[in-house]
Amino acid sequence: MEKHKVICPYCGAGCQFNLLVQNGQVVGTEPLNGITNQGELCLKGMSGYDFINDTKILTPRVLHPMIRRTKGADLERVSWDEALDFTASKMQAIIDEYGPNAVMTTGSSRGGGNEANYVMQKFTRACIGTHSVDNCART
Amino acid sequence: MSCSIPGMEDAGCIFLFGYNPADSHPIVARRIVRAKEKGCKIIVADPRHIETARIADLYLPIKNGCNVAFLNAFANCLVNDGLYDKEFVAEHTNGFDEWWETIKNYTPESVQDITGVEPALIHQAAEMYATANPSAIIGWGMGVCQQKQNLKTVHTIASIACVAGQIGKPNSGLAPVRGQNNVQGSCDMGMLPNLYPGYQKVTDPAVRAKFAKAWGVPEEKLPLEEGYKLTDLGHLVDEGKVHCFYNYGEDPVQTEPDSAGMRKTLSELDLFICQDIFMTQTTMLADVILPATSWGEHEGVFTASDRSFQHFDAAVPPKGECRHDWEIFADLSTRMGYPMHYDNTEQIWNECISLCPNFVGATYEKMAPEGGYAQWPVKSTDVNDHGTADMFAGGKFTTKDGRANLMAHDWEAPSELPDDEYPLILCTVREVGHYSCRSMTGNCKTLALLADEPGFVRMNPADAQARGIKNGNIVSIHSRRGQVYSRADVSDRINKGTVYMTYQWWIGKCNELTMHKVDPVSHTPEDKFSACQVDAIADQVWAEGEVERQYTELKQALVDAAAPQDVEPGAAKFDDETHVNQIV
Amino acid sequence: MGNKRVVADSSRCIGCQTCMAACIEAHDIPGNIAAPRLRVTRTYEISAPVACHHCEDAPCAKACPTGALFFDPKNHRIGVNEDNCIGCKSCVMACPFGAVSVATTQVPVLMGDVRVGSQTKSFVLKCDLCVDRPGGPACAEACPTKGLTLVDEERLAELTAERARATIENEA
Repeated sequence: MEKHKVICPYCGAGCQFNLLVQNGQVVGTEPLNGITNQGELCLKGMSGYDFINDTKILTPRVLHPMIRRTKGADLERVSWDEALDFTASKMQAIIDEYGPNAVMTTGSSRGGGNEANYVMQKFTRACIGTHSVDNCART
Repeated sequence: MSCSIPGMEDAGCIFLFGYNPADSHPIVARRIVRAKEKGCKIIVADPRHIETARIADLYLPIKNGCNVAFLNAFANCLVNDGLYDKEFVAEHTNGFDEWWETIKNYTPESVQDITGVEPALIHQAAEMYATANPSAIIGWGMGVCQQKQNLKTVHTIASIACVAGQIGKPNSGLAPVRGQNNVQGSCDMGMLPNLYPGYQKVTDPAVRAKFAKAWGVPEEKLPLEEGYKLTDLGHLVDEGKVHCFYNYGEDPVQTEPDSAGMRKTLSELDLFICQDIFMTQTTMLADVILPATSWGEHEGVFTASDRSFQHFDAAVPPKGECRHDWEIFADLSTRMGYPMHYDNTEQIWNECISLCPNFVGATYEKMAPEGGYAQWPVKSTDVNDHGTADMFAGGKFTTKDGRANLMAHDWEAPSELPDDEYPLILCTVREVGHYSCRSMTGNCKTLALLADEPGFVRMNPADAQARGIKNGNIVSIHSRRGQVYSRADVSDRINKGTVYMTYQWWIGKCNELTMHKVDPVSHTPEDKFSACQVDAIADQVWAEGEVERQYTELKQALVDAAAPQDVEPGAAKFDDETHVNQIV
Repeated sequence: MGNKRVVADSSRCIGCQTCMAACIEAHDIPGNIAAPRLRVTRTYEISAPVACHHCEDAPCAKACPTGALFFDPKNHRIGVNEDNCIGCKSCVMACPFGAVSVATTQVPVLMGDVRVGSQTKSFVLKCDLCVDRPGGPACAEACPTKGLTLVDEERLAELTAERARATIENEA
């Protein structure tokens, strides 16, 4: 059984625990002596791990890039290259026509982490040229 | 938080105002239980008799929507009852006289109609808080933030801590505990239209020059004007100002007020990009869906509510074609003419902390071991220096003159008051076993077994009885915005006249009912107060079936929306041709 | 040696249901049913999970006509044999603590190795003290405020002695 140290992705208490991994599946948790949780977990930390395995209890994971070629068209799976080129050209066209403030982006206050957020705001500011990046701290 | 989560148990008094830790942060609630066992006095002001109210030394059953009036009365007692810290006020604050001009009008007696609380209780609470030894903490949550006067309420709380001298010493001050695991981190990283990473103002030319140089862009590329706020998306799209929305790891159709309005906004965008791990009610509307790795599949740093940075590892490899969020952003940026390349998260983190003076000591090395953390401000890279547990030591604040500016505001009534048609107050709250939009916890077997659709509407026995509603019945709840079904949870811990819906449910979805009414400065919606009506349903067999039908239909719609991802690029057309051939 | 039971300290209970989640996980194994055997219960003033008291003279076991509930002195408990349960609910009626319930689930009907259909099966749901679990009761281990304790005869004797001492001090 592999063990990997993580910080809980649920509330803001910042509990430390191990994810227990067997055959590539997350099969359990084990509390660690983190600064805030001292070896204790609540039910979300203890039992909130199996969504990673794509259980499809509520809704499926998205595993491949998809686009709608025109507004209202059906979703279509495409390669990463095509998805990102499509996005880049559409976004550039909007910036060219309406200016950088016509684009809004968000951070994620959930599982992505600080580094992902940092790169997102750098992309928004340095590449697009707007400060219209925000997060869900308001809701 | 100006204090730390571990330090809460060593405070002399914890005053919880609009915060139910047992449901939102059980591990913080645990600290409060331990504090109580160590002799800490507990004060709870909440319309509901919440778990912590059971162990409180003083419970104040306030009316919904009274926040600023109640706190002004509390502040009034600090002065009129001779409880305030004259020395702290003189040496560390500005504007006391002006502050008092407003506060003096709010005696507990004069606002009793608004607060619903016996004046004597407010006097006692003020005394318990002000005289607490060695320190007192005020903890608050969404009961403060998701109200009409949210920012003004925070000003008032902070001023109370200063006037009472209960800040600037260990285990004292302010404990606004964050709802999501990394809201603090999002703010730290500058996911805000007015701040760069590390709380550096976008309007400050020197800050702009620093970031422009570090990022290798001309200064003109980075505006000196603030950007747009997320809660303004609706009218910005209506007015033709915003045409593209890149939504990363959030589900606004579920979590923002007025879901119908949000769906309309998203459908009117020229380009709607969703980067997520799940097919959600938001993802399914997107023009571009970019699949990202989940927590458990990538490493990184989160910031806890008390400013503690902690590092998490990856446990399992990415699924399907999922890529790390930061790789997707960097790749897209490169394709749009601003090349970005990182080998790993540590490179990104090191660039970030090098630009943020308060974070420079938060190295991966410090955060790596079990129990490792770095709490900002953290300026030394010495592995034994974990940073700052308590901010504002010695009463030194982060203002220009180092003094706190006291602020007082007049109370205003909530925006939508109950009336004959919608006689009940609707307040949105949290389900202990679920989280945020529920895409993660709803896919966890144990948590789904403990609580599932259509969620709960918690109400007082008198309100239930008046409507012929029994505990456990499916009921219909409607407001000026919409109608949903949920399950009645009847309890005398709930105050009469208000119903509480947990906001995690996709069928029993309170945000179909809430209104989009935001505070003019913080732009936070007033989720804690709107008007609704609850009706009994005579035919419970039909109601159970209807809820089941809606749930099955929604789950099928999500599966259908995700189905195209099972068809490899190029294969769809071939399938169509085969189909045509078969018909022929 | 008498029966053991899990006892809750309501002053430490925060109503978070972590005990219930731990109970579900402990019983989420083939042949068992993933449902909590204890239930967090609330009044205006009190919160605490309610679980089987493992009475020495258990009315539930006496009422059970099929031996689904039985006296299990080896494990110091009232044992559960789910296979025998017929769903008659005599145990639910007999338990003075509201700590026993009956659930139904669909189980496959097999003909040899071939599944030919499914049928409804009753399960009595009651604390089994997690006797097969090396760490003891999952609920007590998981409770984040350490408000649940496995109490045995030795612990009861200690408690009785402590309270007797307190009594003479109070009455002196």
